[in-house]
Amino acid sequence: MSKTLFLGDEALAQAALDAGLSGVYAYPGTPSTEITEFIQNSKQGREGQVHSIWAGNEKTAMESAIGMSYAGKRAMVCMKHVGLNVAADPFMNSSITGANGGLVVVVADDPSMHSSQDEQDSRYYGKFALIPFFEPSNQQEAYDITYHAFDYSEKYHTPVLIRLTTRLSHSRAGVERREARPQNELHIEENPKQFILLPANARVHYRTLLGKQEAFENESLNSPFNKYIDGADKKMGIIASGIAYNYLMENFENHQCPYPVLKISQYPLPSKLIAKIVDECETVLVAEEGYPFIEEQVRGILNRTGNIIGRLSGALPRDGELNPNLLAKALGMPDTYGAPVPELVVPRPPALCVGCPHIDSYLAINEAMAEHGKGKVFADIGCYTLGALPPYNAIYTTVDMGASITMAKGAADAGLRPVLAVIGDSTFTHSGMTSLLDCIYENTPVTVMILDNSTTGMTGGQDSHALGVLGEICKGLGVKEEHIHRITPLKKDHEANVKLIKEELAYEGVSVIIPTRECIQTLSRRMKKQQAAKKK
Amino acid sequence: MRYAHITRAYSIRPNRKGESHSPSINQKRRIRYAPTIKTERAYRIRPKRKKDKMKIDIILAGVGGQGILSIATIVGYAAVKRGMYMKQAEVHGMSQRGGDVQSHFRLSDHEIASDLIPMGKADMIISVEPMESLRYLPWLNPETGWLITNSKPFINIPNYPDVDKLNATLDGLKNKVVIDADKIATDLGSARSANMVILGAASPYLQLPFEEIEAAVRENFARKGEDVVNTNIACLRAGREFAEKLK
Ligand SMILES: Cc1ncc(C[n+]2csc(CCOP(=O)(O)OP(=O)(O)O)c2C)c(N)n1
Ligand code: SF4
Repeated sequence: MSKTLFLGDEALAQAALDAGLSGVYAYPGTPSTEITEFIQNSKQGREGQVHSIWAGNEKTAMESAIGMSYAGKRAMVCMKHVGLNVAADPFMNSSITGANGGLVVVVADDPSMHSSQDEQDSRYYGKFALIPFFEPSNQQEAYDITYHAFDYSEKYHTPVLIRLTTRLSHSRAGVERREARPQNELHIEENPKQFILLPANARVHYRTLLGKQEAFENESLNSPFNKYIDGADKKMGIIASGIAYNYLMENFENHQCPYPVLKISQYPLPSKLIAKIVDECETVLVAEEGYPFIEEQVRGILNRTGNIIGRLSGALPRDGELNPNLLAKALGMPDTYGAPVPELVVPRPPALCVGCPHIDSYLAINEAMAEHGKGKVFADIGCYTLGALPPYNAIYTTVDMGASITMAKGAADAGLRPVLAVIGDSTFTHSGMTSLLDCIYENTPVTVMILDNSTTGMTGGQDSHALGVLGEICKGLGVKEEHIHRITPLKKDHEANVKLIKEELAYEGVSVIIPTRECIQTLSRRMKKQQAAKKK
Repeated sequence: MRYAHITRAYSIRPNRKGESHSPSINQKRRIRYAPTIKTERAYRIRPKRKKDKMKIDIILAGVGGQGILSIATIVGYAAVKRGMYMKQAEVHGMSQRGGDVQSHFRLSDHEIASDLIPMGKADMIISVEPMESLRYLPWLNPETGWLITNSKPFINIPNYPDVDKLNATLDGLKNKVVIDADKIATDLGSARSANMVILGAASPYLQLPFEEIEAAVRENFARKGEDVVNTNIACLRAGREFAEKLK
């Protein structure tokens, strides 16, 4: 069989297709987006009619996948780490219902926060839900693990979690594929109580889940993805999980480490192997990408022996990504470094594209808000978050998707006037609609600007769920028609736009202004496609 | 599909051992559940000519939208065709909106462990923008590393450094090729092919036969027609000529 170059995300997606996937459910989020995009663009996916249309948010994605599993088919859910917070309710309860068709949840963590607001470690969710989880160390493992995860899920009737991290998601290497397996036939869950989580049923299911824990650990113990590699020098032993294993091996000629190494890619942790390395070695270094998840469990909060080192002990930094140099230092090996960065090199932060519609929205907002002083614009997550940077300095909050409207509401409840919420169209349908309903229910004095650029710009231009119907949605939720306005964020409309924003800010109730102009990136892609079509 | 051309182009064949045996069911199972490391060893790919251990670690640098990844695509194609291992970590998301972008690009005839190049060990920085080339000096091998950069600044920030000082800093480096790739590309009729000029300027240091790099450029642009192929080859050659003269 030949090898194909795949991003970690793509390797995982290809494995899911080869494992007989019937549907992927996802909301975009860096670094997980390419998984679903790969399936959307795959011939194999199209021919197999694999469902791959974007979901409204991670919670709806998770629930749809549980539904597909209930119907007996193999389903996958993909999201970035913070997406699992949104999907946490169905995710946690899916461990109680269990799976019928294979159910695999993929979460891509973003240590060092390359494009995220935190660096939370999804392994805690895996442990929290008491389900098996995996952490591939390279692209081939991303493939092999995913292929295996569906079988595992069906063998134990449990959802399975796969954790990726940015560097694996977005790094390319040669991957060898396996034979493609056909999709499952439709077969509804046979136990009528399995998916009805009435307390009486749930108590039984929960005990069943607890009963599976030993088998899960045994699987980890015998897993080909966990490996004990002996070494002659027992002064040190190393537990390395996920891609930390690669950073470790990079430091040794021919990847031969003189110390015993326990490579971990499958959880729950195999306690026998942990005991072996801790008993055999004087000191054990725990190298893991993300939080000190393994280290904390191995050393215990009392840290009685003091010979387990890692992120908690200070041998490795407590936050941020690992790399080969950090591992070298922790091992007491000489560190290497080139020349320092010359002083004249300055940061080059990302910025809104030239011609971006958000620029005109922010210019209007800044002028309308000038008389009210600072601190009264609540924003959200998307390209428009860059309005926090100069030259705009237009927004004061960005917390989680949908928070702009509800935070503005809380501030208004506290007495702050006037308050303005700024939210993107995709973020609004992701989780702004219920926030708006809260405001409508109480007739809170907030002005909400839904920046409609007809796309999910930040993550590369995926379709927006409310394309063309944002006004209708707001009206349907209960915003008064005379307080719903569409405006065009263009220089020539600037004066009129400022005037309108000022008027609505003065209104003691809910108003919605929808600046509407397409993202110039999706616009230019569309134009190019049209031109290409004309040429043909 | 965004990467369709890459994934299709880059099929690597296993060595003869892997091809001639059709694995038994047992072997299949072993391979299926074997740890990756073993699997990769079983299908160990040999370079065509046996040589000493060879590796090229490159930091690619530039500004979002300047097309640094097509350099990786082309070199990757040439290297993978020779049967080398490759890893390439790239940046997606936030940093693409006019911010700095970089990619760690590793080639070797041995299996590669880390997706990231250790600091101080890169053989080359290939940059499409002069200030960006300097940002990654900590990664460059201070003795043997080469820096190949475009001299044309891309100024999209208000505090971009003084260009004379920038040039003086580049001048002070030991192993470098500084080339006005934008001008050369424009003179050759395709301002957008500056990255091919840069690739040409880097080519003498790549340890890959120039014909193979040329073939990869042809392959990469084939879809776009003969004219585009020829301009890009001209840009590649102009860059190489420039660098050879400096030697
Ligand atoms: C819970 C969660 N899911 C996904 C993301 C990733 N993400 C950040 S912004 C964004 C979409 C923004 O789209 P939109 O609101 O339309 O604004 P635009 O970028 O188009 O301006 C996404 C998907 C996230 N930060 N949090
Ligand atoms: S991608 Fe679109 S929405 Fe994002 S900054 Fe560029 S033009 Fe604006």
